[in-house]
Amino acid sequence: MDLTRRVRPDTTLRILNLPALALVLGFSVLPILYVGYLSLQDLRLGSTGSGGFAGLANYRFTLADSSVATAFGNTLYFSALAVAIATSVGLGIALLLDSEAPGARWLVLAAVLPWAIPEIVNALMWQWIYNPTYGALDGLLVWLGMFREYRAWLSTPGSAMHAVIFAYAWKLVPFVVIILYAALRSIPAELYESAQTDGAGRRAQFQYVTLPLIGPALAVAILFSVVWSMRAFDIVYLLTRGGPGEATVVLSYLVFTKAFEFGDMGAAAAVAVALAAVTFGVTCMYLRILPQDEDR
Amino acid sequence: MSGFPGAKRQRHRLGYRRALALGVLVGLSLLYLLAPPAWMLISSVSPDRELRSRPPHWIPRAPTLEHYRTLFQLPGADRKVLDQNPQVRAFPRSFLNSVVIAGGTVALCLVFGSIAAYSLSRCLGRRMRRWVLLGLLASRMIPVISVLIPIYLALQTIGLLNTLRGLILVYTGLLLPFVIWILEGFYRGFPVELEEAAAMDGCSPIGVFIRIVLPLSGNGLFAGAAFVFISTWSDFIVGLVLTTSEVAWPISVALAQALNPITEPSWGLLNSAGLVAALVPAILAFLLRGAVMRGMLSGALKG
Repeated sequence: MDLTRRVRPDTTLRILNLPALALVLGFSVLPILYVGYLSLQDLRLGSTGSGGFAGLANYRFTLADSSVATAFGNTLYFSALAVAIATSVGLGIALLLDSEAPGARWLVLAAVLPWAIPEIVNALMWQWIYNPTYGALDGLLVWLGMFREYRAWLSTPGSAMHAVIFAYAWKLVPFVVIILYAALRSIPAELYESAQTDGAGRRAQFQYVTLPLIGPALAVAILFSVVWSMRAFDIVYLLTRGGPGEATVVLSYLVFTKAFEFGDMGAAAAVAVALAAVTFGVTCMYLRILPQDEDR
Repeated sequence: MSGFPGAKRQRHRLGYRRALALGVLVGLSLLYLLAPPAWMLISSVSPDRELRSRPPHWIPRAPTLEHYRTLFQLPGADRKVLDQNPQVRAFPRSFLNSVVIAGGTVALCLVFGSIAAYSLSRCLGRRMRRWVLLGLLASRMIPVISVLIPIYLALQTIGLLNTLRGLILVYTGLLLPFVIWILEGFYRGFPVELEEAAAMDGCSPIGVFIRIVLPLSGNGLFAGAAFVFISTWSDFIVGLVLTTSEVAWPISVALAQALNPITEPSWGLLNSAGLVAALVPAILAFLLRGAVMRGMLSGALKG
């Protein structure tokens, strides 16, 4: 049913809409345009407005900056691995919920918990678990006899990134679980029955019935996870501050340090624009795979 | 949260071995999901001396609430621990700050968001509406850090840096697109016949909205409010960039500051602080799990 033109807007309604319009324009649309403008300015002295037009110098300079390349690579690695872990664990848990596994009812509640924990608390929690002197992870591994001594997970180049990724993926799992669980529950039982009649085993049922039918939901879960992990900031800020060296510097963290610690707003804006552009590209992919019904 | 009753549950009869295997997998999943927060809870009630042991005391020998008392500087607070972790002194104040910020943002978002969403669902053509909604969603896909530089400069110019008012304004601006998105879907499912009848009796559009629509939109507003409150409460980066002192620190920033001392912090104290900070959104999410899940499914949740 289309409700178009059922209500004629009057002046009061128009006026009452102005604050929302102003806020959305002011905080979502204008900042994006302004950050693009800033990225073309030379603002290195820190005082805003005193800089001159710099053309594409910030971009040229930024692209030649090896720390930007490192951060870009780190962001891709971080997102790819975090999403891979969250998606496979999330799919597994969603399948468990959908089977009549004993205890599945409890699992539903537990599966939402990581989502409800604020990201900064998640970071604090893992900071304590990874603690090199008293941490639970080291304690557990030594207690079980798998390691002889404690390790500094977050300050060793090889393990720092993986420790951060594991902590972030943990919080990403609930979203994947809920999206996929809803998709699994919407598969009509008749499809499984007819597949069974045709002699399909469990594996064949999964491959030819389950997977194609949850495909769109899986794509949505993955794309949202990608978009979020590309902007991950809190976990890096609290766990490693980008260290050791530049091992865990991701793009959003680089923007933050460039802008608010080194005061180079122009260069920071250039990186911010690049990050927004990549995210926007992923979003466009997302919008293309959204079901094309009349609603959204 | 129970499954749909019906045929699907009969899909496969569980054999004994299969049930056992699935049970083990459920157990492992529960361990993965619950062990980290459980350790945070245990650490928050363990004396620091037990936390400084190798291997850790998995079960506290002498459980205590001293960390919570110290955290809120109640009678029985450990002054020495407080002196060694001075940043924790800002915690009670930042807790209140977060309540004010999240509450203010919820109020503004609901007032402006519901009007905008209603107008959108009733006064725009289908094509136009689709574009506006896509625009709203796309604008929120942009990483916050990308728009935070201009917002920082703007707040600096109008003198609202490091104020609760400034933060409320910014959060409202950032979250409105999602609120409008959620509520628009809600109003679209609303029966128009009621509104038509009221309009026939000479009610103006805004009158229809206030007298007929608003009193009946509790569910949608509730979902929107929960979403805004949780998002605002859980945010870190906006608070970090736009505040400079404990006057305006939200709880997340106070937590991060407390984890910053040169010496090893009191981990019992920090864990209790983290737990308190997580409790508010966790309780909300639990109470409103239906609404929260619907929101998540409409692809809207999470800032």
